[in-house]
Amino acid sequence: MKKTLLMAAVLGITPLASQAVDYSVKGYASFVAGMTTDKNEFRPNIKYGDGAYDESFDFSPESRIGLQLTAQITDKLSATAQVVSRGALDWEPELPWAYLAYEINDNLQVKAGRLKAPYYMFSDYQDVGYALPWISPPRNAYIVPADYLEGINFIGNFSTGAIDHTIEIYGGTIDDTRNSNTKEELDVNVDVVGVSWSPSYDWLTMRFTYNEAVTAELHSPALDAFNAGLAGFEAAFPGSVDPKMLRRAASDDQKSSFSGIGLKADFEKLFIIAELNQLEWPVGIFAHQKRFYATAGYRVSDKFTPYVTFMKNDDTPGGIISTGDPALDGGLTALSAASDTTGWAAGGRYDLMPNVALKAEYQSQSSDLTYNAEDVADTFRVAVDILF
Amino acid sequence: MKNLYFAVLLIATLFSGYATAEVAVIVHPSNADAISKADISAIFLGKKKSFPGGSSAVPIVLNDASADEFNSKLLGKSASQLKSYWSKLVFTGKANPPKSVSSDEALSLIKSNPNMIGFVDSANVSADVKVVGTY
Repeated sequence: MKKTLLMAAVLGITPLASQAVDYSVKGYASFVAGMTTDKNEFRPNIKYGDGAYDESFDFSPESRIGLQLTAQITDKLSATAQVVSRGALDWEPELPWAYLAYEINDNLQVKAGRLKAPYYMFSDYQDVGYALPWISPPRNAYIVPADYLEGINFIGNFSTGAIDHTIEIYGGTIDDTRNSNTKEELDVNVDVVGVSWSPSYDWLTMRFTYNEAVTAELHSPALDAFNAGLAGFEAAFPGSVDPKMLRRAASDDQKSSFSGIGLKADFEKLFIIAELNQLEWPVGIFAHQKRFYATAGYRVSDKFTPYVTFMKNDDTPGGIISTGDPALDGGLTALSAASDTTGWAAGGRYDLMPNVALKAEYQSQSSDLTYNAEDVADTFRVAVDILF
Repeated sequence: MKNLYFAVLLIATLFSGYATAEVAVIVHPSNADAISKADISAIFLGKKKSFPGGSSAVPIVLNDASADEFNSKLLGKSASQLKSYWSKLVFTGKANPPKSVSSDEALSLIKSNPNMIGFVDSANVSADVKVVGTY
C-alpha cells in the first residue's frame, strides 16, 4: 500500500505539468555468463534472488536490463523512475529508483522517494555495468542485502581550494524480502540514517561513510532458529550466553552500524580502487564483519584495461558464549574465529564501441570455513555491458 | 579484405589525430570572464554550473570529430571514459550530459546566448563568437 502510494506520487505528478515537460529515456544492459571451475557454487550478489554459478555455464545470475525515464518538470524539479529486470529474479521488473529531485540551488539537491541504499562507493550505479571497471564490485565486500530504501536524500557540493567535496545525508526505511546467505527468505525491516563525505583532489577521491540502523528487524528461518537456540542454551547452561545477546534475541532488535572508507586514485594509466567496510552488530557470532578489497588497473590503451583485485574478510565474534564444557566451547570458538577469507581476481575490460564494453574475470577465494563453501568458489565470468 | 579495411581505418584514425586542427572554446561576445582550462573542464563535466563571474553556464558539445579532440585535450578522457562518467551521473540522477549539436548549430546558439559555452574546430570560428582559448 505504502509502495503504491509512493509510485502514484512520483509518477502521477508528471501529467499535471505535461505541457512543458521534457522527457528522456535512457537504458543500460549487462549480459553476464559464468561458471565455477571447482565443485563449489558462487553467488554473485546476495541482494538478488538465489542466482548462483555452478559447473555449467549460466547466463541468469547477474544479467540485467535497466530503463530510466526522467521527466524534467521545471528546470529545478524532475521525476525519475528506473525499471530493472534481472535474470536472478526471473526477469520480473523491479523499481529500485522512483523519486522526485529538486535542485535547491547549484550546490544542493534533494531527492525523495525510492532511492538506492548508498552503503558502498559503487552502490548507486552497481547495476550499470558499463560504468564499472569490473563485471561487478568485489562480492566479498558488498554484503549488505539492501538494494533500495524509501526516504529522503540530500546531496551537497562545495569546494575548499583545490578540493571538491560532496556530502550526502540520507534517511529512510528498507522494507524488503531478499534471499539470505542460507538461501532462505530474509525479511528486512530497517530504519536507517546515514552520511557520507567524499573529498576529491585531482587524481584522488576518498569516501567516508557511516550509517546506523536505528530500528531493525531481520527474520529468516535460520536467524529465528538461532535466536531460539540461544534461549535454549541459556536455559540448559545458565549464565553461558552474553546477556546483551539474549536481550537482543528476545526483543527482536537487530540494530547495526555500518562504516566504510573508500579510495579511488587515478594516475592516467594506472588506477587504484579500495574499500574497507565494517558491518557491526553489538553482539553476535559474526558481530564485526570487516571486509576489504583493493583493485589495481592499468589502461594499456584507450580500449583495453586489465586489472587485479585482492580481497580479504575478517569477521570476529562480539558476544562470548561459554558453556563450561571445554569441547563445546572449543567448537564455538572455532566456529567464530576461523572466519578469515582471502581471495584474488584478475580480469579486464575491452571497449568495443563507445557504448559497448566486453569484460572477463577469473576469481578465486579461499577460507578456513568449510560450511560456507559457496563463497569460496573459483569462478570464471564474461560480460557484455551496453548503454542505450 | 576485412583486415585490410581495418588497417586502412586504423591508419586513417591515427593520422586524423595529427591532422585535426585545434579546438577553439567559444562563448558569447558579451562574456567578459577569464575562463581557465580548469573552469572549462569543470563546466563540461557538470562540476560547475556557472562562469567565474557568477552567471550561469550552459555547455554544449559537438557530435563530430573535434569532440574527441576536446575530450582528450581538455577533459583528459577517452570517448568510453566520458560515457562511463556520464552514465554514473545520469543513472543516479545527479546530472545530465550537455546537449550535443553540429558545429553550425553551436556557432548560432552561442552567438545568440550569453550563458552558453561550446567549442568548434578552430578553422570554423566565426566573427560573432568570442574565443576564450585554443587547445
